[in-house]
Amino acid sequence: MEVVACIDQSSPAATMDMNVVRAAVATQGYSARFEKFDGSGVGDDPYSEKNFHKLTSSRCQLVLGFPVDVQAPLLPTGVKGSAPYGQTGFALVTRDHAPPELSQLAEGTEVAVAYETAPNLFFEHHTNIQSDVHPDNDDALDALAKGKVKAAMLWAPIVVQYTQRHAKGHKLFFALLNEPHARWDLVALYDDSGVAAAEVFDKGVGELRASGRLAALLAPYAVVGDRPTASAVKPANVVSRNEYNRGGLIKVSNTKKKSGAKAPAIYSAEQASAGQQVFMSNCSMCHGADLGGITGPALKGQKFASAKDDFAVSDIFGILSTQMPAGRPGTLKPEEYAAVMAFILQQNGYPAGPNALTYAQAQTSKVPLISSSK
Amino acid sequence: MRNKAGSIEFKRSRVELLKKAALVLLAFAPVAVTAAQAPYEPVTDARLLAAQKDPGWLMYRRDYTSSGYAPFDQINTGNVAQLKPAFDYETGLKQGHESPAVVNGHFLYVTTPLDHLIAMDATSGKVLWKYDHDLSKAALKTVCCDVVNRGVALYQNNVYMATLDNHVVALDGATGKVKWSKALMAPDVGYAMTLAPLIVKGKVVVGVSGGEYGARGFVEALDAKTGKMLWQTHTIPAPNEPGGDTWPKGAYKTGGGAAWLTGTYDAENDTLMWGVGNPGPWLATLRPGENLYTDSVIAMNPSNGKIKWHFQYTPHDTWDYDGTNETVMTDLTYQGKPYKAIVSASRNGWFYAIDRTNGKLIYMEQFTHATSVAGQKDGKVYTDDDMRPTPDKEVFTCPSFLGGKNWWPISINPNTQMAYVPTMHTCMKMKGAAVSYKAGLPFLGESFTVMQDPTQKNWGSVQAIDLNTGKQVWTHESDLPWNDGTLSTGGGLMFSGSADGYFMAFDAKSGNVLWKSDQLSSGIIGVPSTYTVDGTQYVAVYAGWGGATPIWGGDMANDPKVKSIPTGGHLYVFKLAK
Repeated sequence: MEVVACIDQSSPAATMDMNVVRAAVATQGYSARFEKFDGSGVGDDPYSEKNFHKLTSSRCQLVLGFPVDVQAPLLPTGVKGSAPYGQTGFALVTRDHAPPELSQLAEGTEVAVAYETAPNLFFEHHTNIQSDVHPDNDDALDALAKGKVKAAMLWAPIVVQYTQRHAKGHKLFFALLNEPHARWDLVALYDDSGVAAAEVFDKGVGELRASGRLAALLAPYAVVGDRPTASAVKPANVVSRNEYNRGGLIKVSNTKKKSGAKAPAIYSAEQASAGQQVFMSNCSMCHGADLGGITGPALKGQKFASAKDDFAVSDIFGILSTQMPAGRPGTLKPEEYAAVMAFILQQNGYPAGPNALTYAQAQTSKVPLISSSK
Repeated sequence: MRNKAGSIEFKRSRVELLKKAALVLLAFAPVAVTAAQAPYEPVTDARLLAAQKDPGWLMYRRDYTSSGYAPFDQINTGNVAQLKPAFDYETGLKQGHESPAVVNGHFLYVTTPLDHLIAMDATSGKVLWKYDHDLSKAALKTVCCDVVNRGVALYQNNVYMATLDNHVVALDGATGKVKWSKALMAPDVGYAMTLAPLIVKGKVVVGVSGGEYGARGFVEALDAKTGKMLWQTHTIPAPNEPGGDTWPKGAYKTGGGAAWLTGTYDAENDTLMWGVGNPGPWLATLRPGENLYTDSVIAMNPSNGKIKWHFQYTPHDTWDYDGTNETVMTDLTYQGKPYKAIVSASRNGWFYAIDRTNGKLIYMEQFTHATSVAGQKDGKVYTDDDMRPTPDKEVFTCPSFLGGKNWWPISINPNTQMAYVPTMHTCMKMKGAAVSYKAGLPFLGESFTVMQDPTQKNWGSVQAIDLNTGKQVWTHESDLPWNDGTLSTGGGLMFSGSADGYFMAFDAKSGNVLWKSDQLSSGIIGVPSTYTVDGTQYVAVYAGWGGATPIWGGDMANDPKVKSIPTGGHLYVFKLAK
């Protein structure tokens, strides 16, 4: 059996994408076939997003390599995205030594960036560095390689490609940035006809991740990413003004919380079964009847909410009540949202109590959400 | 007038009869009565300087002040109701028709979309010659807003046009023979040209379109005789030039600042004024700084293109407001003080009066609902930071990027001391981080939706503004957007056309509609002009809906009333019924 994947041959990470697909579907007993397309756009115009739907409806089951902003996960219309199989983004690039943090660069350092890319935004909150805008990536990398600038902030796969092409030139070092809109999840795009292939791919990626092989397949273009379902879980407006001012680091807190600690009973059993019904008719098509995740992320287990994720009930409920169901967010009744939350809590090992969870309580609840189910 | 073709035919055949009679007369007396026989009178510098009083219409906005005002009063408030079609001409093209009829003696010139130029007899519409610019090698994919052309310039024996593939072409006015054709840039590299050139002291001055394609705008002067480049002034300063520090380093190369509309020449001060377009990229947070000279008017020395002063209408623009809208020279009195001014109705929804001797602001007043630009302090414009979109914030602000007024030129009338301003009532939702994709790399832009101004019930209006106060005197509301320039005359009239195809004459003082044409074959966006030949005054306008509104108009473009506007180019010329 075969999975057919479209690969953007103009993407510097095309080889990586093919390797990931081949290895992932092989774990499920499938072979991979590749259809190449040119996603470089025409002249100054970008590659039309409408084309992705055309690809999935005619040439392949999966389109590989589409980057999704971790903070603003937008997909082209007409297609869905798999769970992220890797994370890449904009990197700080320097010559001859490992790059420091942005804040460690000397006062007045000129940093090369490419026209219309996210790193142009980073200067506003890093006043120690100055922007040196270049019309394209190669121009910026040439400036760095020739020593006209000491640093650059560019798309990591392009930096890899450049260093491969110019192997004899100056060595360039890079590290992914943790600035707003710097991190991008890599997903496979598919439409209804590719649901089965996407499931095979997702499962395969899961196995590669579990066995530790994924990181090697992605390197040096991308990393596994510390939160495999990040794009689906983090809401678009997650970056608060404070986080910007703090220097733009948007890290998930490392505070350890032990799972299995006494979980409070904040919903009722009746409410959870009402929530199950709402879930089945509104959510299960994406998240799976068993909450294991299909096209949407899993909503139970360690993948969903580990101690490391540091979620409170209100975090998840915020996404649930303002962004779900996808495509028609906010259309359920308040009590239905609360009931779905109750069902999710139940499925993640939280005990039922005498009182139902209210919409208002769910909005503000600081109760940690750490799954104790598998 | 869709149903009146018969009567036009009848008039035409009567003209033919007259011509035949004239030919018979010619055997006895050599009197030129049609363009076919008339010698071509050279358009000298002296005639251009006195273009206001010329019987013809010698340049885009009639004279160097860009007034759009002709002193003719044969057609006036008392008799305009008798205005009837004299002749018409169908171009056969479906795109936007924006060119004015430019007239020298018996010769009338119009351009069409896709750079065709037609010379015809100004009294009969008889085609004398045609020039079809070869665009077969141009992909035209860096033309944002319809494949339009805004007409010709005249000088000595030549006619000049600028083209979508970045050529300036000089042709013999009488015969249409190409004298020279000069490419300023390769086609499709981010630039195009759509404007009517301006002739100043033996130079053909043009500016480029292309604010949406990462280009760096410029104004260029060519020798009118040979096409040789004499100077080129970039609208975005390099880091080592004055204003260069208003950009991140290197950003000037892709800073936009297209100069896509015709400028104004102040002969007294020997100063050339030119509007500069929006900065690139659209999302301002990508390019911290004031971003000079985008969204500004720059004043240049026409001998070398050196910038004398500038005034910025919208600092650090993120709304695509441009600063290209024409500047009109006028003397005015504000709060008791006389000024030599220029006025401009900006895309950003504010009407500006600026001292043309030094670039200092005299006043600015809103002429439509305007929330992005908030006001001025010590003569410097400031914006409302809450109305700036970011990758994480959507805003709702007014006007939309299509502007309170787009390129459709205003006119002024020195007798009423008013400016006549086509106006559009739109706002927009705008957000950063619209992502486009290229070879695996995401790019940041802005997403937008044009919507109706919630404070207005119509899409547009045409209004009169008191030059001495900047305040509205009258307004004529339109349920459709009003996308046509205005023409003012010594007959106390203001002419402009509606989007549903009615060419109208307004009482310049009161705004009362004194005459309305039959419905023309398409919506009107052509620049109206007027001229006199052999003692008869004519008024000319193109019907031919198109331009930016139907392409980028969002909710407005999708309004069934707007969607159903028929297309097709058609020049109509009117005169009084005998």
